[in-house]
Amino acid sequence: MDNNIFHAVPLAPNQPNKAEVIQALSASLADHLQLELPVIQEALLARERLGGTVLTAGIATPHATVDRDTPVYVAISCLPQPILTWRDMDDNPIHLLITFVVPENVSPTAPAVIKLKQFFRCLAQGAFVEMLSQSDTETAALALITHKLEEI
Amino acid sequence: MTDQKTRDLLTYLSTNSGFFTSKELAEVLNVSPKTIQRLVPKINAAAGDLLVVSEKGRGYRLNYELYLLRRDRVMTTNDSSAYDRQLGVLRELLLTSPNSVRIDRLFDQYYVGESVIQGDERKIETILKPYQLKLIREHRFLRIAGQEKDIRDALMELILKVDKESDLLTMQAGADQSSADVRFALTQMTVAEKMLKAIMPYPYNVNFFGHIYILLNRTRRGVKLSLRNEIAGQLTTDIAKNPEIYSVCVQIVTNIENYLHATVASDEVYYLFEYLISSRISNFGIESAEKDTAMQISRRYVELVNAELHLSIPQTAMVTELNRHVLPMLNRLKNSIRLSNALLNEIEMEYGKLLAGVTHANLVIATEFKLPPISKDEAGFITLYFAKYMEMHQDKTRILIICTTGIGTSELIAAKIQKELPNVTIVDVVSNLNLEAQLNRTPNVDLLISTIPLKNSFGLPSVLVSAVFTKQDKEKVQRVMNGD
Repeated sequence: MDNNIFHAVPLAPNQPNKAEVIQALSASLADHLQLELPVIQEALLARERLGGTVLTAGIATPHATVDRDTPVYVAISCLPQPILTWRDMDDNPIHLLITFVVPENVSPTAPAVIKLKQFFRCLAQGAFVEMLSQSDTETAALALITHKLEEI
Repeated sequence: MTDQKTRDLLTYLSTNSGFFTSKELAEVLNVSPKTIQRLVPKINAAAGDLLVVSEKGRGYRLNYELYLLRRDRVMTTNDSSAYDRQLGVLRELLLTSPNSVRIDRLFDQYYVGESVIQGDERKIETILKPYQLKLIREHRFLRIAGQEKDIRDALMELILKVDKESDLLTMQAGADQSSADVRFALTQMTVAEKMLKAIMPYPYNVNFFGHIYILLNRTRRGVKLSLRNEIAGQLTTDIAKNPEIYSVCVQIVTNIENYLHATVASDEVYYLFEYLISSRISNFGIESAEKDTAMQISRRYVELVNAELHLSIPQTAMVTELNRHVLPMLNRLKNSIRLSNALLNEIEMEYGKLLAGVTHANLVIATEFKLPPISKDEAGFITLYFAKYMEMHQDKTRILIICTTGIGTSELIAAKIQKELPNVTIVDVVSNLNLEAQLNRTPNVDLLISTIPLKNSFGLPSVLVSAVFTKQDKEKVQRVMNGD
């Protein structure tokens, strides 16, 4: 079984706004996870309607809980151009997406869930968030994340 | 060129996460543990920061993020033989300070030319900078200018390799390989403890050991420091109140004279006395004219921290215990003696809010009682007294953190709350879909903190916060906790 939950999911350049980014993300995730596009897209949008998922340093963490049998999946996407109309808590345009999908009935003690929790705890560390934000490519961001999680 | 050992160590640490003891690293790199202990400060000096972090009881690990930034600098500038030479010259200068040393005598054994000497001087200046010390060249002489306490810090860390992570047990364990001076200084610690029938705990013992070692080497070089006029009168009073401690100092000076077959400068016994009365000695009451002031200061700490953090710690519960730290701390402040706090980072992470409160109290107290600035290391020690009380007595607010998954942002918020709100216990982190079930399992929850609006808060107070738990979020939570 593949224990790696983090994946590089590059998006096509020139997404002009949040809605189109979510749409492009949904299409990629549906493709990777072999799920129906509307299931992912509606779940991501539903979460966004409840309240923003932005952090700081130009990072956003859209996420979706889906009623499907799917693995925990975290997609890392570096946007070639920041989305000027989608801003983080410090008013920086969003340029790095950490999107995750979890199945509705996932066990809280599943190794993938524990790894995801550990990762989000790391996002409480300002220095790590800054380093992550400076990643130019998905590969660089993934390397940082892997190393950080190995330190724990 | 970087030496191979440095490359090997950094490569190993960068490809293996976690902590490794010097013994483990020594086995991997096929060198001695002492070599690892010597190599780490060299690498950190070249990096200009703590690239290889050491923690007591855990060993060494790489600061990976810093490594990514400074890798090139360390890999290209650390010339081992040059660093050893620079450290040797620096040792001589520090131990001879405030006196000057002839440049040819300093470099005689290294057979190097003027350009190398000038390069070494620049490097030594860089090494000294963090200690607020300056290298002064006057004709063909060099000397180090700066305050005595800074010279001691540099000697302890650069020459003796005694840093915040060192403890005397480790040093005792390694004493067989150490110089006779180190073994002698360690023995004097035992002499002091036996005469006082008491224990000098960490980190006071490390400080005292360092002082004896430096005294030995300065005596050998004929360096004499005069007692500062402003403290001479006060010392006489303190000696009269603490004859047992003074006897220990006289005995240690006698032992040093026998060991060196040389006379120790007469004022050194007073410096030794300053160190001992500035230490916390378990089961031994230090008498001081400052006793009443120390008690007032201890009370003021409790008042100020209570006010700053909206706490209600009773004076009676803490003052006596806190005073055991404050009394020797006053002596340390008076005598410009620094006490490193190995746990400062952990204290900051675990009790950040409390530490900030104590640090603020330090400013107020230093002003009110006309004291020199009280260091963050001291603030860390004092914070632990408050933390201990709060852990034992305080009823914490029990909170449940909620987001849509119970996995993502709520974990981020939990990590921040743990750091910033010492008065709360996080009962659990859950999805909004499981909130009712969770409350049935753990009914004694005081407050809900959520990243999404809750349709039903089940009669409990709730606070909506952002995914990054900003300062404003923290204030909102505190207001609700305070019933505002």
